[in-house]
Amino acid sequence: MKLGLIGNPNVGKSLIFHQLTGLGVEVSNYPGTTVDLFSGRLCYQNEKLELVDLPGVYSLTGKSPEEVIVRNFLLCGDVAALIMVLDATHLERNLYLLLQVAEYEKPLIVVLNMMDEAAKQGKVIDTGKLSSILGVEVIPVIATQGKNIEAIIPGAISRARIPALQIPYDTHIEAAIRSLSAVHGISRWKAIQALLGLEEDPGLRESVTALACELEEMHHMSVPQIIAGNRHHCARAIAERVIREREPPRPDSLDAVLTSRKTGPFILVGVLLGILLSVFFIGSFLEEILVGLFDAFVILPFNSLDLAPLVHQLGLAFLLALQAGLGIAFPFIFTFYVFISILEDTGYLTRAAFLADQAMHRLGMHGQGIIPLILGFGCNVPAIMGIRLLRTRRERVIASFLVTMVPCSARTVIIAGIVAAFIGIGAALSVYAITLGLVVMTGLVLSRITPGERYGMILELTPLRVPQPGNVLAKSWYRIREFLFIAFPLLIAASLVLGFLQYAGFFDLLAESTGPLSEAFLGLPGYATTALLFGILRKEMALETLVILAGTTDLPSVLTAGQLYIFAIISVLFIPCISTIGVLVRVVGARITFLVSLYTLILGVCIGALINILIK
Amino acid sequence: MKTSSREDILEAICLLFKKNKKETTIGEVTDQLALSREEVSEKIGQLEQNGDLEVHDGETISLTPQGKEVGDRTMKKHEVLECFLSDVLGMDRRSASREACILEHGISDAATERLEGFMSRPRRRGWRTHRGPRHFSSLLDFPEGTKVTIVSVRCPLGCEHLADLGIFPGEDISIVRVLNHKAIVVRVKGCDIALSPEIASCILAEKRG
Repeated sequence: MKLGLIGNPNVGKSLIFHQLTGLGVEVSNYPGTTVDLFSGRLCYQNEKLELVDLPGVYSLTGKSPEEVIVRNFLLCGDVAALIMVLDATHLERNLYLLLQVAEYEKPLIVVLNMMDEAAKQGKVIDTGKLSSILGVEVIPVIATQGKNIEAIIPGAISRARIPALQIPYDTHIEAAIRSLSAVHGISRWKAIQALLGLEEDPGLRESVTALACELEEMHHMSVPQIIAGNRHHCARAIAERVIREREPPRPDSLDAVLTSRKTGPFILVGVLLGILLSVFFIGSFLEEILVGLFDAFVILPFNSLDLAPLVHQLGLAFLLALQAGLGIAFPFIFTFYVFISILEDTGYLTRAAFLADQAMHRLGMHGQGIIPLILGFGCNVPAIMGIRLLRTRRERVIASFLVTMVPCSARTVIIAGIVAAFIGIGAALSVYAITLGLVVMTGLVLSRITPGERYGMILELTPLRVPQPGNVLAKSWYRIREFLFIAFPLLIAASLVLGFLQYAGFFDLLAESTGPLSEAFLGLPGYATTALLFGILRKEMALETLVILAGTTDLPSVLTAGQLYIFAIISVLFIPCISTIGVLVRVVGARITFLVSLYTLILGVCIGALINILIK
Repeated sequence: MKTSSREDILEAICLLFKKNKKETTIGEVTDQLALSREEVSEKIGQLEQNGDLEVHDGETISLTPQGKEVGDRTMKKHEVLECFLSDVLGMDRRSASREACILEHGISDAATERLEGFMSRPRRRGWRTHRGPRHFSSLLDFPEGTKVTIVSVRCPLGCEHLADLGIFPGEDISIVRVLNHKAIVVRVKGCDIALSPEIASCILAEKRG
C-alpha cells in the first residue's frame, strides 16, 4: 500500500515523515530528474506500507521538476491515499494547493500542522467546520512536539476520502470548460488541465489557444492567472469561514533587524565568518583526536602484522583513506552541516539569500545562488547537488564554476596542515583571501560571457523559528550521507589505486618526467608535482602524498616557505577532486565539467607560477 | 432630402448646443457646416416640416426629442469612428474627422456599439485607451511599508509561479522591506516573499487606502 505526503515547502512535512518512518529511509532519484524522493517503509496492523515524502510545492500547474514529479505521482494509479500537510499559520495559501490536489480526486486526509504557532498568533481554527467544507478528515497536530502524530497513519488507511469540493471558476472559464468537454469529450478536470496548457493533444491545444485569446482579452490577464485567481479566492473564502482571529498578527521585530538594509549585511557577513572560523577550529581540534585514536588503535596494530608487501601497501592505503575520510567527514563536514542546518531551520538561510541578492547579481546569479556557495565550504559534492535548485542553466553553469573553487573542508585541511602549521595563520588566511578573490573575479567575468536567460529570485522567507535539535541532527545526517555515499567510495577506490601505483614504482617515474617542468615554472621539486596530481583523487591526499614522498613530516626541512605556500595554493585551486567531477557530470554535463576542470587547472598553475616569480 | 444631410445638420446643432450651452441660431449652423445661408435655411425648413426641430423668430433653433435623438446618435458615431481611426489605426486627427463624417452615416448602431466596446478595453500592448493613457507604478516605486493592490503581472518567465504564491492582479499586498538595489520583500497572504528587482519591476500596482 502506497501513501504520499504532500504539501507546501516548510510546513513540517519532512519532520512528520521522519517521525512516521524512523530511520529506515531510502533516498532515490526520481527517474529522469535529479530531484531526491524520500520513501520509507512502515508496518501498521500487519500491513506493509510505503510512505513517500513528495517534494514541497506551492502548486501543481508549474513546469519545475518538483511540480512535475508531484503531478506524475498523483496521476499514477497505485497511490492508496494522500496525506496533505497544511500549515495552520498560513492556512489560506496552503488551501490553494489543497484545492488543486482535490481536483485529482484521490482519497486523502488533511493534517493541520503547527496548531501551537497558530494559537500563539491568536488564530482559532474550527477543524470540524474545515472538515465538513472539504469533505475529508482533518487531523490537528503539533509535529515539533510529536503531538497527535500517531493518529495520521490509521486515519490515512481507514478514513481517507475523495474531497467533495468543486472550485467555482469564473463564468467565462466555466463556459470554456464546458465547451472543451463537449467538443473533445473530456472530463472537467482534463479540460481545466488543458486550459492551463498541461495537455499534449494537438487538437485540444488548438481549441485552448483559440479560447485563451478571447479569455485574455476579456480579463486582461492570462488564463493561468485567472484560474489561479479563482482558486485563491475560493481558498480565501474557506479560510475566512474557519479561522477566527482574536488579534491582528504583530510584525516581527527580530526580522526587521535581520533584513534591514543597515544592519542586515553586517549580520550576514558576521554569521558566515563566525561559522567558517568555528568549523575551522572545532574541526581541527576534533580531527586531531580522531586521527590520533585511529593511529593508535588501527594503523599501529596493522603495521605490526606480518603481511606480503603488496597486501600491506594496499591495506595501508585503504586504512589511510578511511582515516582521512573520517577525519574530514565528521570533524569538519558534519560540524559545518550542523551549523547550516541550524541556519536553515531558524529560517535565516532564506534571509541570507535575500540580503545577498545584489552581490550575487554581480556574479551572474541571484540570491538563492549563495546557498550552494556556502554549502561548498563543507564539501563541494553536496554543494554541486544543491545547484539544482537554481532555475536556469546559465546560473547552474556559473555556480558550477564558482562552487568548485570554494575551499572545501579537505582544502581547509591542506591550508591548516601546511600553511597555518609551518608558515603562520596570516599566510593561511591569505590563501583563503586569494581563493575567494578569484571566485569573485571568475563570477564577474562569467556573468558577462555566459549565454542564456537571466531569472530573478522569487523566494519565500520562511518564518523565524527556534530550531529543533533532533531535526537539525537528522538534516545534518542526510546532508553528510551525500558525502559518505558518493565521495567516500570514490575516495577509497582512489586510495587503493594510489597504493598500487606507489608499490609499482610509478611515483618515481612521474617525478622524473615532471621534475624539470615543475622546477622551472613553479619552483617545486618533481615529487611535489606528483603529490599535487594525486590531490585530484582526494584533495587532502596531496598533503599526505607530499609527506610520504618527502620522507618526513617536517616539511620545512625539505621545502622553503615559498614552496610550501605555492604547493598549498595550487592544490587548493586546481582541478576539483574526482568525486566533485563525478557529481558535476551528473548535474551540468560532461562538457561544462571539462571546462571547469580545464579552467581550474590553468588558473592553479598560472597563480602558482605567478607567485613563484613574485617570490624570486 | 438625403438622410446624410439631415443627420449632418442635426449633428451640427447638437454639437453647437453642447459647446455653447444655449439655443443655436441658423447663422451659427451656417458657419459650422461651411454652406451658404440659403441652402441651410432651405434644409432647416424641410426639417421643421419633418418634425425634427422648431424655429423661433426666424433665427433660434430648438430640437424636438426626435431630432435630438438623431443628432446625438450621429455625434456619438462620429466620436467613436474618429477615435478608432486616429487612436487605433493611427490616422491624423484632421483626416480621421473627415473620414468619420462620411462613415457616420453608413455605420449601424450595433457596429458602433461593438467598436466602442473594443475601444474601451485596454490594448494588449501598453495601457492606452481612448479615455487617455493610465500609468501604474511597478513595485520598485513604492517605499517600505506601503500597502498596494496589484494591477498586472507581466513577467516574461515564471508568471505562474508568482500567481501560485498569491501575486496576481487584484490581490492586496504590502511592501515589507526594500534593499538598496531594490530587492524587495512583500507580504502576501501572511507570507513574506523576497523578489529580485527584475521580477519586482514586472509587477504593476497602485497604492491602496
